[in-house]
Amino acid sequence: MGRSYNEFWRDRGTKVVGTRRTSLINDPPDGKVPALTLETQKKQADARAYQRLHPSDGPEDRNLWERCLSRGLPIVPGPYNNDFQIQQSPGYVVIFHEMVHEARVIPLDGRPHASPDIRQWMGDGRGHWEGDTLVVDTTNFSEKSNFRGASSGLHLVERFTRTGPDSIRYEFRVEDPTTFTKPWSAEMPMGKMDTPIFEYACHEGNYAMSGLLGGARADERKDAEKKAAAQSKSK
Amino acid sequence: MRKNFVMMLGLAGLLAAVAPVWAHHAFAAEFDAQKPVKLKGTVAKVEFINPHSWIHMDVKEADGKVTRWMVEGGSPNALFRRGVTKDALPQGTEISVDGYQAKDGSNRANGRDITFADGRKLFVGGSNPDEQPNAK
Repeated sequence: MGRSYNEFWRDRGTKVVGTRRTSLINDPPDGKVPALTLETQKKQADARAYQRLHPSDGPEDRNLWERCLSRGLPIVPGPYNNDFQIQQSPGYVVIFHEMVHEARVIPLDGRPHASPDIRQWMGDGRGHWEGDTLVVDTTNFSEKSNFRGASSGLHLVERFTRTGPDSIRYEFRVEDPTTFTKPWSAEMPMGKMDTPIFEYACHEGNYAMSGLLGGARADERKDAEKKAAAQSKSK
Repeated sequence: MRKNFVMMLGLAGLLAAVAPVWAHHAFAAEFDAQKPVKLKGTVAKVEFINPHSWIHMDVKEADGKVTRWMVEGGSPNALFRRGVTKDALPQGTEISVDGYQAKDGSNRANGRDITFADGRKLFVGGSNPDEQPNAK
């Protein structure tokens, strides 16, 4: 859809990383997400087959972003609203995401993860300091969450390192042997911004959902008309 | 100790390699690439709401009838960063919009280029050479 979205929509980065690398992924060295396990490949193929038949029967068929539920983890840049507020107080770090208005409240006191029975969209994060690096270890993701096919089995380790007064290096490592054939990592820079986070009143502004469902009904009507026309021709 | 750090993720040159789900919603599911529209009218209201801004405009049809259209655009923070505030599009401003109509036939469109009466464009085209203004 190169022709549909222009600068009215996008919020591009303004700097190029020093190494000029072309992938966020730094391990494996080829910069590619490792192969998915056969089980995950099958799951995704099934999901795609279902999607083709039921693209928008109801809101539940649409993805988590469109439903204003979760952008999920790890942090991966999209075309706009890559805005985060990191707030530190004694014993906790709060990472607030503009997209989908998600806030992670991360304890730093070394307590263990919640029981595996507790499952959350953003998982259950625990933080600690390794020198000047904030390390956040997150498990307990909901089975309905979806990061490139990974969900409840995802073990995510994120590292936030100050690299200057206005910059942080963000790294994450993904481990989920049920989804990926080997672990992988990525890193990217974050820069300070001058504007505040804008409120994300997702449902209030989500005219898109009625548009998506309306679009699907229009497609169905068109298909039905085509079928009817074809039948009357064959008679 | 209390630190408050507002960060923006840098994506320069890295976006193409990643981001499988890249927009809040899918263009093709909501809008019809076969239905380009060129709307000429006046701004009735602008909603700066996440995840997308919406420009409501009154479009005068050939028969003189006025129809209200809704045009979807970028996220508020993305627009603010480019200096586009509510003052950029006050009520009554004459604009024309190139976009694509909603698939369900309602008076909604995915907005692309917004042009003022004096020919100034509010948004320049993307750097993608594919991104030409609509043919119609």
